[in-house]
Amino acid sequence: MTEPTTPLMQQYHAVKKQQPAALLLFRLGDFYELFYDDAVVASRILQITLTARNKEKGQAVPMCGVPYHAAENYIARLIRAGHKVAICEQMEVPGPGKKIVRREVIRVLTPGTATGAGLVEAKENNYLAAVARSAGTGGAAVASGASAGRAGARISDSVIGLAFVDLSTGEFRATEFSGDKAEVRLRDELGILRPREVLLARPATLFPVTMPAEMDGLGAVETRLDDWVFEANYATRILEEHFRVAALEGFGLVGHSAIGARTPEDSAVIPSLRPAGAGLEHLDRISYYEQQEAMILDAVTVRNLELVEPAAGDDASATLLRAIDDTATGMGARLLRGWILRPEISLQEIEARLDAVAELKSQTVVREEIRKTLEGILDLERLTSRVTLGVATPRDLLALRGSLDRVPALRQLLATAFASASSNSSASSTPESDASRLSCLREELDEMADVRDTIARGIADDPPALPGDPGVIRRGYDAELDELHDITKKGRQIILPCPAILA
Amino acid sequence: MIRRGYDAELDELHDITKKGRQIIAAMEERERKRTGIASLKIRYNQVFGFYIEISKANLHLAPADYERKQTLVNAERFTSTELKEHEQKVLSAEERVLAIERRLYSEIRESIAREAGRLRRTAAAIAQLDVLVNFARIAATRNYTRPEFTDKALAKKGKRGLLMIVGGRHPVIEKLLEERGERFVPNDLYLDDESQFLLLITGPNMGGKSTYLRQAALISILAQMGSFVPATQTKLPLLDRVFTRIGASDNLARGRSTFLVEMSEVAAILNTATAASLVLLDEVGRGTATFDGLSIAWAVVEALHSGARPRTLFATHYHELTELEQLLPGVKNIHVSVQEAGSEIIFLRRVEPGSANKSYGIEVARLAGLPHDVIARAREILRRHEQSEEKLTQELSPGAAGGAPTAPGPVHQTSFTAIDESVLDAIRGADLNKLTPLEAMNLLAALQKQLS
Repeated sequence: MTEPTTPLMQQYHAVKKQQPAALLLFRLGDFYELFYDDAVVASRILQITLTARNKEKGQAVPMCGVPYHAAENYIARLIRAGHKVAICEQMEVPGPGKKIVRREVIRVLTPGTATGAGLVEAKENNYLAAVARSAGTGGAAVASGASAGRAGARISDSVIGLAFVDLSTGEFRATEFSGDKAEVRLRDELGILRPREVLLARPATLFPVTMPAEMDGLGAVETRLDDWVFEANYATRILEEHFRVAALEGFGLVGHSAIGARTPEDSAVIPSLRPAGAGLEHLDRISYYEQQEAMILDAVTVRNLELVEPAAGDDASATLLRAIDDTATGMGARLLRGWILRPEISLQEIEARLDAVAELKSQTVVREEIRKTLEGILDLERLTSRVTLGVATPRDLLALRGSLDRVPALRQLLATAFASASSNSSASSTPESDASRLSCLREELDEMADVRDTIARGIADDPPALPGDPGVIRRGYDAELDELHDITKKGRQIILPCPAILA
Repeated sequence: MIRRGYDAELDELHDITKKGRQIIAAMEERERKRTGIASLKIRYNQVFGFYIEISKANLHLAPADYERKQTLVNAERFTSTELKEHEQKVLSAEERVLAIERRLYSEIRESIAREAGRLRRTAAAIAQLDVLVNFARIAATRNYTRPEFTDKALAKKGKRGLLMIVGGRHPVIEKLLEERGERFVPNDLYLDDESQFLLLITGPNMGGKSTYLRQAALISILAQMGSFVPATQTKLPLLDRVFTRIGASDNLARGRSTFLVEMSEVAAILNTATAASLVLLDEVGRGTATFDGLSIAWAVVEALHSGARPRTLFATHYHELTELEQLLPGVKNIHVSVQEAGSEIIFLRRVEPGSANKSYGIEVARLAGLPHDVIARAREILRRHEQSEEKLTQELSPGAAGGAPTAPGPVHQTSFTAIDESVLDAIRGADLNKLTPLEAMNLLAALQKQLS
């Protein structure tokens, strides 16, 4: 690349240097422009014309651009294609006498930190994962990995930690792998989770040998963070601050490692979300789990059996997921996908589910009623996350209420199903579980009368799309507001003379 | 309504609106008197807000404290300090409304956010109910049955139980066929602890070997998800893991050596599988030369047999492997069956005990109508060609080293004259595993021509 000559391109290169891994959308007037390789990549994904900026010493600079007012849609497509996107804005108004306006990167969007409706798949989780290795013989092994290379990373008693979060639903879990098959098991787990983005410590000591074939297909963006972010001390402090707890024992994170270090990688998730501007209040718990709690299906098997994605050349409907997914809700679809990728190995759990399926199968009328009721329920997990993130619109709240309004009916239907089923299903139910799965689920269903009431009283029937616009709050919710409304209405009538005498 | 005095600003707003007209009228009257302009008007519009309008004729009477706002053809518009204050008060009411609405909205949202835990639990319960209802609906509409699991006590001891599927169907293919109005041919599978835990599946391509393999895994996965399964009856063990080594073509696109990928996957299976695993192997060894491939496939079966002994389904086109049934207890042959109807080959997609007819290519040639003597000749030649392979399998078999040779099948010795050698070479050179029926027919036609 030749040395840029114009001030503008010098500025571009300075900004790009800070964001080498992201596609840089560089604001120029009414357009976001991309240059060089970014332009080539983006033009292919977005199907927009690749042009050239010819002024660089006569050498063509590939360039393409999208109008700023339509940028959200284009950005969403870049994110969904698995790219990071950095948005560089003009920070001052151009005017006479100013040679060049100041520009700064104001947002960096990544596949793992995106939460917008256009950015994540409704029926899939959008995981951001962090992987870290804590070495048995001291952290130096990780730090020295860059220079020592392969030799430095071969530590048999190291523990690999994995944490992952779905910002759109608030799910936050962690596990760890040890022993000589730790790397294989990590790959298996990543193959199942299919994170959109993986956070790794810089330098790359995680996979000392060449990446195995199954990692190629993961399609995850890699983000490198400084290795101190993965240090256990830092991790503990960050998590304790985040969850506002004095110790992490309550989350089951402690004592899982032979060397006494807890999973250090969780911390990396939290700081890395900050630059993305994501609100984290809804990540209110983290849970530890063991990979062995499920039947293991490695990435090769998931692909070979076409469990969730068709093989190359096969019809999209050729997957097990498509064949058995007739769920009514986005949450149900995501759970089904999770169950396919992590079948149970607990006989008790399996039998509890089978009992429930048997009951529902035999009770056709109740089942179809439940199904109809479920069909009106929107994605409560993601609506809840939008509420806790502070980005829920008035219409989101109405959707939340409309969905919750169906919960009492579900409870009623389950009561019916359970009452009649308990009398004749004793033969097949497992002795360990006193209550059937359906009655447990009924107990778990909270009618949320308080929340429904708040929304019903507070939010107008046909509110504007954005919370900042007038008319969000329902009449009768707040006396002061009602009175003010009257005042402004009357005030206008009084102040505004009839149109005929308007000048 | 809100008590007076609760909010001073609100009170003032009240006064403004209640007396708004009076205030403006009074102000207008006052200004008329002060300036002596009888036509002076105080008005309001959306763009300029409140203004005092004075006609051009009276402009010289405008007081110095008036501020010019706008010039029209016949008039000038002004504002005054008093009018500006009034305007400010009126307009702020609307902003106040918005501010209060925003505050109330945030309060509502925050109050809901505090209940996020309950909301998530409810959402999780709904998700599970949705999936269970989904399973029940599928079970009802597609004739799925409840899987039975092998004795729990057995499972706890880490022992393998029965894996039996009666009338099993492939859930995905069955659905796709149904959409086209076709029916999936059900088949059975029986695997137990000792007498048969490793099945070698032979039969022609397109015969349904791969489908049969995958079906076993999919039924097990469905069962362990808590779903009913597409079969009339099942007895299943709890599997800890499913391994697959199926087809390598999809890796070619990514530019990796097919055979290398294949072998690394096989290595992973041999290193990781346990007695509680299910292993599916489809055409292992295909990615390399015939004898390499056969040797590797043979060794893999032996390793699985002497090692973890996982339940294994091994589909192969190496007919030589079927010899292993005699050599290793627990290894059994099954095949996908084919039926001839006139000159047609029908893939029954039914799985039956025993190995497939190995001279399948010649059968196809016969069905294609090649003269009888040519077919008979081809059979003899094939047998001769296979002698070398049989020697190989005898050497591979564990008993061979012990000096107890397994009796080789009676090989019909035929003396060939010198002129037949080119024909023989042509036959020897033909890869029967790769020949299509048409190619086989063409080859035979060519050979026949040479002999005549």
